[in-house]
Amino acid sequence: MKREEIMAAMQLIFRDLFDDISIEITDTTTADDIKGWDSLEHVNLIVMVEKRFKVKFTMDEILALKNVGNMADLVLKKL
Amino acid sequence: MGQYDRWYEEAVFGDADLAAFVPEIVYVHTSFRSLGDPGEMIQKLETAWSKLNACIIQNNFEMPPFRLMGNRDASHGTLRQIEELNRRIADHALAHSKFYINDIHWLSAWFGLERWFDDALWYTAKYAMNLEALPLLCRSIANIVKSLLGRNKKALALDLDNTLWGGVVGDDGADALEQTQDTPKGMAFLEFQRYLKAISQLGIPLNVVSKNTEEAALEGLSKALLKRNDFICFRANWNNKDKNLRGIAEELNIGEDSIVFIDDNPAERELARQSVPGISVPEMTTPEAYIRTVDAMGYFEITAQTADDIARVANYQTEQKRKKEEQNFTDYAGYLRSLRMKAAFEPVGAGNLQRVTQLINKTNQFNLTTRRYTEAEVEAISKDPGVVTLCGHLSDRFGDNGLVTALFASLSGDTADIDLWIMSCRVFKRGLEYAALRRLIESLRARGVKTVRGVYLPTEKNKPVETLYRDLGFVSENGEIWTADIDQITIPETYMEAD
Repeated sequence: MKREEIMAAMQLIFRDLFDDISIEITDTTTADDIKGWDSLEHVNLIVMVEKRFKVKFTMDEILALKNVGNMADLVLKKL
Repeated sequence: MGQYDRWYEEAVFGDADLAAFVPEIVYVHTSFRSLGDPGEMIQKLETAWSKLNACIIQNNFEMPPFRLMGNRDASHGTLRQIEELNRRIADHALAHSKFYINDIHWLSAWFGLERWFDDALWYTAKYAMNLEALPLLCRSIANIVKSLLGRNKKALALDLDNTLWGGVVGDDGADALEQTQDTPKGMAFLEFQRYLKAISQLGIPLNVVSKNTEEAALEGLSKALLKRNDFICFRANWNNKDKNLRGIAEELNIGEDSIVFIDDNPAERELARQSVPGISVPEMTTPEAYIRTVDAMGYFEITAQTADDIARVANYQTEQKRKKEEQNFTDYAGYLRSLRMKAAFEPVGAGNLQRVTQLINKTNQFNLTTRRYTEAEVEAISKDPGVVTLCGHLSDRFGDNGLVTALFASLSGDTADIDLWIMSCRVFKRGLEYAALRRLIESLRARGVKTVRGVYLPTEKNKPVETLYRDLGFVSENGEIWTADIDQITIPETYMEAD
């Protein structure tokens, strides 16, 4: 899977999770940019991404995540 | 509601939010993550339970994700301690009726202990378990709450061919059916029958709804573990099944939405779903999965088991005898007299609290207010000197119907308000409501009551009592609040002894 495809799939996850079809994610998107992205939804986001790409993040990886681009890179590395 | 990891403090030292909320049910989620020292834990739990004035749903503890000494933990280590702790919690449940275990010890094993714990999620977000285990946990808690609120299913309606046995009795003949130890498939059907029999012994009536001639159906059963007299309603005919299902609901005098319909045929299931509103129809797949499929739904989650539950199926059988007897009479009073009924009334109290609560929460038809109360609330009412409570048993020459009616009347000056008046559908049209009201009025009169007020709050299901107060001589301006001078209440003749 290419990085663009990962971003596109993650876009769908974000829209689904935050129930907003207008969400456009970029590499620099963070929790500050999206309404409702709190600690609870953060957990849901991680689990949904793990499930979608059939990967498992370690604790270090989860703690090191800074933005959406990081997450896409991480998925790409693990696939 | 509660804060993270503050359950003990909130229960023991009081919490303003919790107190203001006046919970009926408190759920305490503990897990291995919050365990610490098991010996200390049981003391903390017992203190907390004693402070909470509500129904308590309490998790027990799952096994730990690691074993310090390996297998020796089972005898000398943490595993042993957790087992003992769980046993103490179970003992508490045995001794206290308002205490219910949410069994995560079982749930985690079922889900798979290895996956149940998600360590990254725990350290990063303090999730006590894998996110994917949450639906299972929620369903488990919801089942307990559903049962406490009297929303359990009340009857099973079962297809026969390829549901109770393998094969089609009309085509293959009774001898060719697979429902014995002789074949692998036969064993699966046999076990399913055994499971159903066990459910019926918990007080859930089994009923047949099958497209067969009655003769063929009985022939199939002649080789089965389940026998004809294990079933209450027996609808083996060529009618559409939705019609038969409605007939069963009517015959048992329960709502159609209280029935669970088991059928291997997807078309029959779909018809039932579309034509019988609210009915539960699990997706049956292959015979070896039947038990799990039905069991996992928690339709019959039991939070209390009263003598009435255990006798219920027998009660349905005697009710059928009564119905037959009724056909021999042309005048209804003659029939009622022939039953030689005896009513026995008593105040609500320790001995009947469970059953009264159960009746309050599951009675929908003869229920004037459809107000629901938890056991803790019923207990408080029973001890309140400002409330007159009454509950009644009815027996007759066919048997004992058990505790089937209850009334609460709260006093203010010389006026009494009937806050609750319920009667089990089991004893409709026997005149028990009149005997009960007569008894209530006697008590009220002794307390100096001059005016009696009743409330009728209409629901979809309590139409049968819509005109009750009017028929008894109460008057109302709005159809909701009914008032009568205590001496002007007109109670029809009853055909029973009452004590």
